[in-house]
Amino acid sequence: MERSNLSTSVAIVEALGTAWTVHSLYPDPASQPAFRRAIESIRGVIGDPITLDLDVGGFLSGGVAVAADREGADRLAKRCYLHHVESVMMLSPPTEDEVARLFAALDRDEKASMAAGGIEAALRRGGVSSFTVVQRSQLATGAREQAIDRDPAVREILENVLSPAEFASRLIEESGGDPERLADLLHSQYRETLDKVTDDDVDGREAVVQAFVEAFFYFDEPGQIACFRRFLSSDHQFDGVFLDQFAGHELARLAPRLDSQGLSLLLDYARVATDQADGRPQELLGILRNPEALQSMREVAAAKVQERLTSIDDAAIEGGRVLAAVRDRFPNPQRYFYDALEVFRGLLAVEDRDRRFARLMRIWVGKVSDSIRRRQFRRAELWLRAATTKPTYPVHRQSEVDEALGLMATAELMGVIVEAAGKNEEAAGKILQALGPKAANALLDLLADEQSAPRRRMLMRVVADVGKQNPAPLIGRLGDERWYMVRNVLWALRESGSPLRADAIVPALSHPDHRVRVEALRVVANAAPEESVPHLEAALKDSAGDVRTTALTLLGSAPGDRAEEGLITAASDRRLGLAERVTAIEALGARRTPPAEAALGRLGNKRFVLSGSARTVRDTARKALNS
Amino acid sequence: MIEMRGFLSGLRAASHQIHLYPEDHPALAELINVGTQAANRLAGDDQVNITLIGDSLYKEREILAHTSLEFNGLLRELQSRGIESITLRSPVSVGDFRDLAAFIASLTGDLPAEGTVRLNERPYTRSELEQGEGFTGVRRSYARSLDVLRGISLALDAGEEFDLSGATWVVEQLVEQTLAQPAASVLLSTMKSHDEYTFYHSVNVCILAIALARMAELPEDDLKLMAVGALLHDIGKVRVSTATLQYPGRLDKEQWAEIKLHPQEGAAAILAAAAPGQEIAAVVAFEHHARYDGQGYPSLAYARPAHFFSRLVSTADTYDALTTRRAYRRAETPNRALRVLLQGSGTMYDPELVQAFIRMIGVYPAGSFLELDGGEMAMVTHHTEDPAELPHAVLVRGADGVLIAEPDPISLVDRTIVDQLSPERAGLEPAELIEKLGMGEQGPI
Repeated sequence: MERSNLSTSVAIVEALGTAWTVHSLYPDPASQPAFRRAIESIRGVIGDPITLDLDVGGFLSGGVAVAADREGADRLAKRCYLHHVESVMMLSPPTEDEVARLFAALDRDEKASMAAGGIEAALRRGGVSSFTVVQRSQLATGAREQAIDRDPAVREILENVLSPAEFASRLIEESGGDPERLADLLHSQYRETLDKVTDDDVDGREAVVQAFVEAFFYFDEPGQIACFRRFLSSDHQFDGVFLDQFAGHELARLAPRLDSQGLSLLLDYARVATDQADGRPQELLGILRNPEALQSMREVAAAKVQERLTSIDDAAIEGGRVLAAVRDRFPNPQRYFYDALEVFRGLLAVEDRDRRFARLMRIWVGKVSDSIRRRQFRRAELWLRAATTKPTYPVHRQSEVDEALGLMATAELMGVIVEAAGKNEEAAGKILQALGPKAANALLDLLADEQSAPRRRMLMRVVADVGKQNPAPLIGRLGDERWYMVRNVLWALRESGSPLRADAIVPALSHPDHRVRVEALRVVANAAPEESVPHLEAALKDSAGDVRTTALTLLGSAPGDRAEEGLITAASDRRLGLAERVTAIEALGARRTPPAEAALGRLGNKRFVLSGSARTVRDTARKALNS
Repeated sequence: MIEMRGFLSGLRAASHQIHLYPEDHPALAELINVGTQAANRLAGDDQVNITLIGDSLYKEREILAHTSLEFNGLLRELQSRGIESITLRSPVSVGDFRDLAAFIASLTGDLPAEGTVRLNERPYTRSELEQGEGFTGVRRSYARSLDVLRGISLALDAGEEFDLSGATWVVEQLVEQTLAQPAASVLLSTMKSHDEYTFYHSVNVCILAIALARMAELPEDDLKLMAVGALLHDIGKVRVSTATLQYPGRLDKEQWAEIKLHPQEGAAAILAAAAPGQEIAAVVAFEHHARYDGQGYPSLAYARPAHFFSRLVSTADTYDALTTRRAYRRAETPNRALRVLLQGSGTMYDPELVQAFIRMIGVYPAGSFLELDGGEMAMVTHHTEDPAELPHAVLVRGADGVLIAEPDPISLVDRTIVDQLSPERAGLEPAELIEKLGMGEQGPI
């Protein structure tokens, strides 16, 4: 045996051992990096075909034991041995899928595998070409049986010296008919006999378990109950194996005859055996009554658990890699707050009790409010949006959420936000937007009481921003008794640029205070330019010069013939003041339409003027025409 | 120590149940009788003095550090009734034991001065008592954690506000202790209390989660945040009725529905209490019953899987719950509990965290009982993280089945471990041995 061949064999066996461990731990081993690395390492060392032989001690290469460090390799060798694999011949570098197919074939029950033609056939069916497997039973059936040195008690069972009925009779006789004594005898002899079976004697172990289970069925009911209870109350793995031999319907048949403690133990067993950790008695017993369901669940669970339990030590060796994998998945601390917000959204989704939902709303209001008070506006905004953006709560909770929003929109909190918004704090502005109409009312209250002119201006800008979304709360305040409040609201409405119907503003056009009327004209002209012309014309008759001047200015920029007619009339209207007429003339000059120019011509061509104001009108008209 | 534990258990049970039953009820009479017998075993032929100072309990002059922690709740009740010492004079009468239980339960204001049970005779001064280990290090952190949980629980129960500063404070101590003495901390997490199950369980889960996170080298700031979640993961159970929590059997549909609300109750309470930066604890409380495959309860309304911290705590939670005896089921052996974790690995639990947990706790964790090939029984005192290294153990029962009075360390090299036994099957409580061996503070012997 050349040294290089042996070292290649060691490398291959170690890699196979690692891959087998990964296969035992993960449902999709081929996707695991460790598995892929292991196969990659095989591909890296394999050149000429290599044959690995197997015996009970592990892998051999050229008759020399392959000393692999991986325990996984030992377990793989044992698994191969159970399948009577005599040798594995590596012909060419294998793929991950090919090795996974080999392992899947080894995972199957030995008898079922053999009945389906053996592992080699399974590999052929799977298109595996890089290696081939020779199974011992195909070459030398029975040779292994002779190699095992069995205890006489085990041999007696294997040779069927006693039939199950005779075996049961002997136990019953020894117990003197006492069920508890019978249970003691069955249990102790079962354990003692199994202890005598060597580790590699699979057939022997199977025969012993089968013999005792078959004997059990020859006992009368009290005996069966006592025995069953004895095994259920034990944690020993051998006792678990005994219980695992019972079909679901057999367990279910015994269940009603057990006392409460026994039933509890049975349910515990069912819970562990079927992965129904949270299962209730009805569910568990239901599973027990369904033999197929129980059987399939138990087979899956048993195979996985057994494999994985035996892998514990190896898993620990692999622990370094596991820890590295765990570290790779450490959460990002910057996401913690967002994760908590998701939980809050989750709570809103699952909470169906009125009082508890109300509590969530209180928590929500508290969180938003607290964040605002702390000047943590981004946090406040995120808390706010946790409920309002893509809501998770049921539709019928909307009114409660609206009510909670109202509770957040206090003058105190709005004051803090406005201050921040004034400093261009983006999140503060977003909070105001998110609060919408709820914020508008609180802001307007603040505005009404604010004494500082700079803060008032800032508030007005904020109110205007809020009015962009929904001007209704602002319009609702046009009836306020305080003239300045009405004027500020009108200013905010104009600034908001929201589409408005002129008739909503019309009442303000006749407000007793001229400053309100001025602002109202601006809002109407801004919101509905064409509709506004009659109102502007009417305003030319207003007793306040500010109002008339404003109306003329607005008429100058208003579209349409009617606005122009109004200006022409105003330019000639001697009831208006000189400044107002000049304003009208200048506005006509700016329009440059034939009727405007004609009107200006009439005014500018007056040859005789007696007063200074008439001269100013004529000169202004001429200037407007020539400019 | 067995006698002391028996007496304290009996006293605790009697003082709690005396509220519930009429004086002549057979169940109460049975409890009183059992307690009286335990008191007499403790008193022996003469008398015994039990003294309370601070968090510590003394039998005569000997400090019982572990027992003090195990019966921390009862000690608090004794302190609240102003009891500084209990003298049991043999033979303790049933009537006097009953009076003692009634006194602790505040049903009576005094005890007969000449009875067989006497209070506050205080035969020893503070300076005469052994000022041994007492409550230092991890034990003190454990006891403080219990106090914090009791406080939060009372506040929640009364509908009062609370904050997380207490929890944060004790978690910092637990983290410090667990980082400094991981083996001792994990050993202490074998502490169980049937009476205050949720509180002890919560501290145990916290310790196990800290130890697991420490092994994975989670940064300390994150570790502390996770640990607050671990400590408070079950705090929502305050809202579950005691009748359901202590129901001695499998829960029916309504009871189960009530239990299933505790994650959302806990999460809401924590969110309400959390200061900015502490909210992640609510995530752990909300998701600790969410399964790895997305099943479990409550159903998560968001796209992301359960948080890493939640999965970590879920692993520790399952292990501690399974290894604790409950009214409706036996305690599983550590192996069996690991088997359940493995069985659910990839479906219920994060497979990598399960593997890491097994590596941390070991196949034979500290406090577990092992049956050896010669028929002896040993208790594991220390598991190392090196899988190649066998656990440290002490021999507690010989091949002849006789308990060893002074357990000695035993090497497991060249020995075959036949089986792992639950405390019930072993007939021993790890707590008794931990007390006897003076473990739990300084770690493995």
